[in-house]
Amino acid sequence: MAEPEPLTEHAHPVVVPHWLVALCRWFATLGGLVLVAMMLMTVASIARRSLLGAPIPGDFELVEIGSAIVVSCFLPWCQITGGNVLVDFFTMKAGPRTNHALEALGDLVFLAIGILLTWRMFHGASEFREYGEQSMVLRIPVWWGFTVILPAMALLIVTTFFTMIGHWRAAQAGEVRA
Amino acid sequence: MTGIAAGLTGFAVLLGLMAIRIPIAVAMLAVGIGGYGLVNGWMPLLAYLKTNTYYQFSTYSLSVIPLFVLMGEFATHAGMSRALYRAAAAFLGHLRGGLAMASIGGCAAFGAICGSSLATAATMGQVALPEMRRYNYSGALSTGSLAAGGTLGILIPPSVILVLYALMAEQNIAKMFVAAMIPGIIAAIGYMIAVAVYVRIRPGEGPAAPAASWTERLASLRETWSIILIFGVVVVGMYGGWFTPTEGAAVGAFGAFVLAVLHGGMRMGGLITCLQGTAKTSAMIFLIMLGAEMFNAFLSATQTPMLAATMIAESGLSPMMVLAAILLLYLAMGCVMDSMSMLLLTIPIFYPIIAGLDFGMSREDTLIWFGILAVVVVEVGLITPPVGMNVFVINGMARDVPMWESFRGVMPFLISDILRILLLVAFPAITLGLVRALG
Amino acid sequence: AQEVVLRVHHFLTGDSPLEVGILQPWEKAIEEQSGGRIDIQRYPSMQLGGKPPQLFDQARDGIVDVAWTLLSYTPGRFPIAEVFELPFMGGTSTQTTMALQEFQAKHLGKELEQVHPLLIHAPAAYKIHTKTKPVAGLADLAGMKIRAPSRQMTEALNALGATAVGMPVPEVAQALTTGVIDGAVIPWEVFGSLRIDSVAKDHTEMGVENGGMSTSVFALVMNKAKYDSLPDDLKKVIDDNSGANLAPLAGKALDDAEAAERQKAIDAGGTIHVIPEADVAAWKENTKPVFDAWVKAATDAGHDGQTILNDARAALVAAGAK
Ligand code: NA
Ligand code: NA
Repeated sequence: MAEPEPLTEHAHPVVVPHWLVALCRWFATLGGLVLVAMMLMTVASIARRSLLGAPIPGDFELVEIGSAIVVSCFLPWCQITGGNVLVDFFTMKAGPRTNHALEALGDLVFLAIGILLTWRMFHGASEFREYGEQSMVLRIPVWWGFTVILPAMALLIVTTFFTMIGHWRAAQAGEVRA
Repeated sequence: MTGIAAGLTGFAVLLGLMAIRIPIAVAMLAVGIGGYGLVNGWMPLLAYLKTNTYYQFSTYSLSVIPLFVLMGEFATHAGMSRALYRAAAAFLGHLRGGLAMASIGGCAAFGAICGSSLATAATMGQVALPEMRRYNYSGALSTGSLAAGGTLGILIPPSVILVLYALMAEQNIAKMFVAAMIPGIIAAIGYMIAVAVYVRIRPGEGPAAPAASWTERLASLRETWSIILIFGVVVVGMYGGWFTPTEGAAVGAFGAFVLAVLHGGMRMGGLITCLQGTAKTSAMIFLIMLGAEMFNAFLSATQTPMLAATMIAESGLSPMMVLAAILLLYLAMGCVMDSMSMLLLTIPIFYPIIAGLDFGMSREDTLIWFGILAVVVVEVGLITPPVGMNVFVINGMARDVPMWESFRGVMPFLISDILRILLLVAFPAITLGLVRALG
Repeated sequence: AQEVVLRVHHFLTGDSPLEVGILQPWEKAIEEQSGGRIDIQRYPSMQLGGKPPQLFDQARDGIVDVAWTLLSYTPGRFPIAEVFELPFMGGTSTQTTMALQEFQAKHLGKELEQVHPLLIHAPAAYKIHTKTKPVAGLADLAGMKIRAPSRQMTEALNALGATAVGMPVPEVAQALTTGVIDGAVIPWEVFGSLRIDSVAKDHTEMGVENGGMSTSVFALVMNKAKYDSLPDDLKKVIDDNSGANLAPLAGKALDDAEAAERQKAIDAGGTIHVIPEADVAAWKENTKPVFDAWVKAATDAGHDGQTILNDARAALVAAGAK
């Protein structure tokens, strides 16, 4: 979409490695394709239901499993493009150095939370596997989804680390990148 | 620390973190996680986090959100904003201020397939801004009308914010959509009246453009049928007969996808651009939802929402005064804060309070009415200074217009907003009439 | 004075039969018998956060002290308790609940070992509620889209010629309204609160009045460490108000709730269709593969599937005779 970069309420753009941007883009595209697959499956299920009187078995649970994968794959892209909204009002006049330093602090907090969530999700996935939890109709093991979700979360951690470094360097250098 | 003191401390820390540029979602997560650990114990916190993220992300009813976002992306790519604006301008352009009215009308129509205000403002801006500048519309009127028109995107269904409210307050999504229709139409008409009054006072800012012939007008309408079709299928289908909100969003996204391919010439590259746009917006929303869930779990553990509801019920304040206080608080917060975060943070606290008050309606009617009021009020925050996201976006597209001039341009629309809010508060039937009529 | 706070978490509303008929009297009894030393705090509607499938683990991990949940919310996790979800197993709430007490002692120890179970119980058996057309015989069910409450019912409905749809409970009312499904297998007692009463007007009962299709296993479970930390006299208060001591109250509460909702539906113009006992044999015959599959899966997992099924049936018969 050709939407212009909003001027505020988002993080300042920051330098990150090219390979990381590419990796985040791949994950976002993968998540997007899963979303498109969900869309097509749902439309097909409605069509089957209307024409044949029977939906695709397990359509609801496929949407649920797909949804978790989609959102996880989207998270790193949102982080690397500065998509998380913030309140800009109180620091608008503080100058780019201070703002970059504060955004580095925000990334540090997010980094810690990302590590915590991913570590706990790993244990959650292990339990899903150990207890053999499955979806109701198709009996898809719940832990299968985590084979995509956990790498996506790991990428979120790496991305947050690099945006933090980027903000920190920008704060040190005092450079303004509009 | 106990009860409400812990809850208030949590709020204070949250506001402090948000004030120093910590992303809103991250601040909510940090305070939610920390507070939950302090109140409930750290081992329970670690256990809670094992599966919580997964279940938040995999909830069926929430999957409607990325699908609506995707629908908006495809609709944008399909270039339907151009067709809609042309049609509106063909009918209104010859009036004084008519192109600004057409911007409002185009935004309202585009809002019918797009769930986001920013996207509505931005896409319509790309088409309408050059047209208005070409006919010597002032910077204030052209950017102001687009910024305000964009707010129609979240009022006219489908709307991501209405979906979120319905889920939090346990209301039927389709009924929320139907309830928003009349207020949405009133908003569009109110904005057009604001334009008419504005150009009466300052005729030089919105000169009349040449009139279109009836042949041209009818021709311009022909291109808009696809939007009407998609809107009709999604909203009517959801309300009246064929599918759940998630399924409606999937059908709508599919329809917009077909339009984008046939009409917008979308190919692989365009598809990937749409997917990345969807990724950014959806992830932002889900992260805020995760943070709000964590923060609200912490608040519940301190019993703050229950205690607050009891205090207000016993305070002797009249229901209308409580409602007015909440709406004023939203207006104030909306000046500096993102609207979606605001709702996600406060609805779990406010909706039990409102549901417990007697406005002379059923609980369900009260919650639908309050939901529309809340959405209308937070939507005003998108165009209020100092932080008005829609104004920023449109102003960013019109490089030659100073920011203060854009904020001056939205003033007539703000007045229209305030009048409309008073109208909706005074006459709940405006909101509830259509819901009741359709049963 | 109050020594122990027990936070009770569940996903139903504060005015549900579970709250009014079971948890509130239970709270009162425990608080009185402990002389106010135990303070029960109820948190309905998932107020303490999370989604319903997390409830069991919330109690296990001490996130809350007590949780109430459906064992079928985590399919695959409680394979032995699933035997009660097989078609035509459940009776009245009292009957199934009493049968579960005996069955639990014999077979559920391992599946519930991570928590301190307070009450394993069941609702009155679920009936088929339909919107588009009545189900007065097996042939009527063919091709209808019916919401299934568990994976055993998913397979049973498919075996009976219907199309089972797996769908979260909160979606049911809207799905019925919009024709996403034609009917649902759900308990009577959630009828009013889910606003299904205004949509589904035909109700199918099996064999006898109030005979049902299937049931679910409900569990009120307590954190183990929390229970172990109680002094003996308070443990006794809890024990006096759990298991077989609590079961009759729970059975009666849910049977009463069912009777009230059923009467309301009839008064509102609903029609009850009772499938004659003689015809039910054909229904049962059709679902035999579901039983065979369950026994095979349980046996493959190292349990004595046939014995467990026989014991469950025997416990139900014994409880029905009382
Ligand atoms: Na909209
Ligand atoms: Na604002």
